[in-house]
Amino acid sequence: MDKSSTKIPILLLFSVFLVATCGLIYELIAGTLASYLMGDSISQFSIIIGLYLFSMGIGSFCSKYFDENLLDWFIQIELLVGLVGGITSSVLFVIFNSVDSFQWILYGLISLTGIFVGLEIPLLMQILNKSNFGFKDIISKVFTFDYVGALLASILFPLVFVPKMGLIRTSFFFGILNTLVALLVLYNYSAQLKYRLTLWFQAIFVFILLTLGFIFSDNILSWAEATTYDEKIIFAKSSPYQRIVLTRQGSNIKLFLNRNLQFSSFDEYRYHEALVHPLMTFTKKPEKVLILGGGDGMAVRELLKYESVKAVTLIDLDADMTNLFRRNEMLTKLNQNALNSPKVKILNQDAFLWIKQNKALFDVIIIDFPDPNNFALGKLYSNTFYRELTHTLAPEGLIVVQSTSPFMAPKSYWCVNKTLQSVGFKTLPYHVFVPSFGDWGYVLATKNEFNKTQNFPENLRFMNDAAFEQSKVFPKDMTQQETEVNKLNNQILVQYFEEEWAKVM
Amino acid sequence: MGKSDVSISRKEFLELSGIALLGSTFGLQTLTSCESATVIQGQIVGANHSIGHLLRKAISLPIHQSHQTKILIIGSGISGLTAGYFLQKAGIKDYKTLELESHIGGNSTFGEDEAGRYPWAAHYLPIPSPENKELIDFLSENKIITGFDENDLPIYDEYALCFHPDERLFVKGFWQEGLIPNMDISEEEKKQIGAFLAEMNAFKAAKGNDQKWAFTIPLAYSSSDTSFTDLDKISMKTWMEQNMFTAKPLQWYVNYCLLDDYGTSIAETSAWAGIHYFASRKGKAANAKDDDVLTWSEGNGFLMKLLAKNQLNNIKTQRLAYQIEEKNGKVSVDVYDWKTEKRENYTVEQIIWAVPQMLRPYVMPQQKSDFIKDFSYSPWMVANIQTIPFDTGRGQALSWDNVIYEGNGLGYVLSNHQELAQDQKTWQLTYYKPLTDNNPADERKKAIAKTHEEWKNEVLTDLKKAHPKIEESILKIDIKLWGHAMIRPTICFIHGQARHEAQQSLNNKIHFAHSDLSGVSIFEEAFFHGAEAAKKVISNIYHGGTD
Repeated sequence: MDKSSTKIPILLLFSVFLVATCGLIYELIAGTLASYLMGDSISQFSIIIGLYLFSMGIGSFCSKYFDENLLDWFIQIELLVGLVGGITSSVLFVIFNSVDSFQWILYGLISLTGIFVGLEIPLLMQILNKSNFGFKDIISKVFTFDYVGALLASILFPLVFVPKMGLIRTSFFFGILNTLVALLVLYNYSAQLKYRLTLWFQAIFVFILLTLGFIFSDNILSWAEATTYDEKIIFAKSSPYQRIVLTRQGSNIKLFLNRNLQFSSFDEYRYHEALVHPLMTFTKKPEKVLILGGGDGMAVRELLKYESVKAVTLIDLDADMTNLFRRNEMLTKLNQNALNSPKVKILNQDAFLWIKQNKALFDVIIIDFPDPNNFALGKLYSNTFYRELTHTLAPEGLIVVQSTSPFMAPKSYWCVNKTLQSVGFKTLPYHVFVPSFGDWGYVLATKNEFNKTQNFPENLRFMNDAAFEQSKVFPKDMTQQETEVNKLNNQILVQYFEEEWAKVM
Repeated sequence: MGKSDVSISRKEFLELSGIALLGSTFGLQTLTSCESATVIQGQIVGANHSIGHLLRKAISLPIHQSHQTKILIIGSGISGLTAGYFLQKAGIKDYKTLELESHIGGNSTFGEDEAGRYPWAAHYLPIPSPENKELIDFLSENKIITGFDENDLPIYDEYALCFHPDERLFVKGFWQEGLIPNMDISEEEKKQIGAFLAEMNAFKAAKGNDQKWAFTIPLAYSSSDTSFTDLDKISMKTWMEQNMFTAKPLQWYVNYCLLDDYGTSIAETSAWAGIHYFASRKGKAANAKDDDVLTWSEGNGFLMKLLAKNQLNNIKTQRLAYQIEEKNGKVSVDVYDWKTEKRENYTVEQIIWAVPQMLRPYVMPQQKSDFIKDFSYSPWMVANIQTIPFDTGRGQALSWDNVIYEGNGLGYVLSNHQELAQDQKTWQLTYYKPLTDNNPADERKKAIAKTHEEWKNEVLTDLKKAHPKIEESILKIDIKLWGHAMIRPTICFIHGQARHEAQQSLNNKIHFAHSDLSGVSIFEEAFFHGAEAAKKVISNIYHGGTD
């Protein structure tokens, strides 16, 4: 054997190895993605594997029609595998929300990849066969590298690639590897190739495309998500408890938790001023404040406008949420860095469990839980929970509860009011207009009398005496309704809430 | 059957009681299937011993130690613990309680792991009627009743009252609220269900010619008016047919209820017992509906711990009392301590027998016991399934009690239902199934022959009807078999002679206390008989009644 013919197999066998690795990875990506997006992992994996192997068979069958310019074809196929395999997962992610026949596009892409991969090995074997190698040797070497590559892929995929890179980036990465194989062969055998210019052009194009995809894969993911929101998504994270999404349109920032709007920076001051300040006008010199929920720090921002406030304890289940609003510059601008104030203590704990074991007393308690749209949240609006609060509230203390919309859900709103009364609180219901929410309600509660003891701060944008007087008036379409008391053993509030919001959604 | 039938040979005793007493006699079958991570883990729970094995050892040993104690309680289920509880309240400290198992509690046994507690059998107590004074007092003393309102109605601890949603039923792909079928049923069926419930309410309000409630708890306070007690002579199924309650969904519902409370089907249960289920509960509360129940993650294990807390030093576990006889005006009890493998003898004045009646002939062979043959018990299988949260299906949200219409078992209880936290990382489902395909003895044999894998598949097959993908979310399934879980209130049992005879104390020295004396295996009845037996003993001790 001369020097050049020994050189062929090493490079080409290395290609076999990479090709096999990439091929199996595409199959795994498709299977994972299909079960991730459509569920039912057993069926999805089974169908994907079957379809993929069958398509490889088609590819192998077609290989007999390739007689000339085998190296050209090999490079061509290699580039196609890289391109299709590389972009498959991002294409699927992006179209998932908008295409009805998602499943068929998925199967189409899988078949295409399978056919190309199926062509690769037979083509390579033909190439090798045309050199001076024994058939036995070729079979033995090619399949050895093929299977070793497969093993490597199947081990690295779950252990390294999925956890470290994620599906989209892994997909691009192996597309790039395929393209590199093509480039390597192209470079080494340039002289033997008929269509080298076209191939060079294609290879560089595919390489750049996939590299860009690799770099910007995070953006692709958020772009895929953006199809469900009107605005541009600037942050998205799944915490152990909820999906946190921030969007921006112009200067308006919105926070969504599990797709429910929590605030819009455009008008959140209305919501938070109304939550915090009326309560404060009825207390003398509140020093110790407890906030339940409200991990965005906006209520704390309002509280820190009072010099008397010495310590704020904030209980929010989700550490990702409070960390985000302590660290993200855009958000700390919104809450004026309130969560980093030395007066603030943040406890990422379950509110009910914390309240049950708490011994300390607070002058003021601000309750800003999500709306009672499930039985877990309904517990936090129960008479039992409010009774626990009485053990946590100083004798002169006050509570305010965000209580959903008295316009959209009047029974729910008045049920919160009644439940607070049922455990011995005097209540003062009021509501304000927050454009992005609608008409929103709160209930003040105390065991004492509502005596105004201090004025609204000067520097507010919305709340003052006149606005508060007005907010205590409930027009005819929101007047008080007869409801039951919300208890752990009836969860009537969740029922009211579901019925009322079902009407308007 | 006569006396000869009862004098079974020792060998038969060993075999019978081996399966008789212990859910855990299935030790030899204990399997741990954790071959690989994809296999659902779990085991058949229980200790590694059988009574037969124990007894063979016991009778070959000399007596190691002799004890004198005034009172001996045999069994630490609810009736035994209640007896001890009332002895303590009367200031009597000189008693011992013997328990065969290595843990106390009987049917109120519970399990516990890093994720929380879960029941192994009884898991709730309906709020009792105000007339059940002793039980109300017990609940008040232990702050389960936190006070009484202006109408003297008890105020219950809100954390113990079952949270909403409490019940749901899976019918044709959808979870409906409540267990009475109401989806997709005809007008006629709806009418029958309404009429049946109205009839049951009439029984609930009915009194006999002796001015006692026709049906009440404790059952002993029910009227002996034959116009009601004659219902014991026919089956619930016959009674329903006679009264035109033939609608399939209604019969399914009634059958479900009876299996749930008694482990007997509608055809086996007497009509008196069947109606008793629907008509005996007359609970009232200031802060709960009449049909609300009290429940805890460990089920009635919570109440059991309260009964036991002041008498733990009196209880000796891992003790088998295998021979009781009167000697010189006292009672001699032979006991085998299977932990230390030593034989003990107790000389006592009074005995409270708080274990099933079926064991009497073997432990007290000289005593008349031909009536015992009428006492039969249903075997049960209970599975505790730990899962990560899963898709709970369409319709009503995941509830405390989740039942599959025409399912193979009785559905599952969400044992962590009373937890308060927003985020629960694991769920504990307790799945119940009385074994009623054949007669109890055959079912017992079949049950112990099955492997963990077979039980697991049986449970999964049933659950998958409602949750096709539940297998992906399961972390482990533990199985417990109860050979003699519940007394069966079959035709003529509750108002028959055997139950009456079994309650009579022997020579005013040996007193009986177990829910099987009521014919109904519920907490209230066990509590009642424990309290009654304690009263007899207290009266004998303080008034020198032991002659």
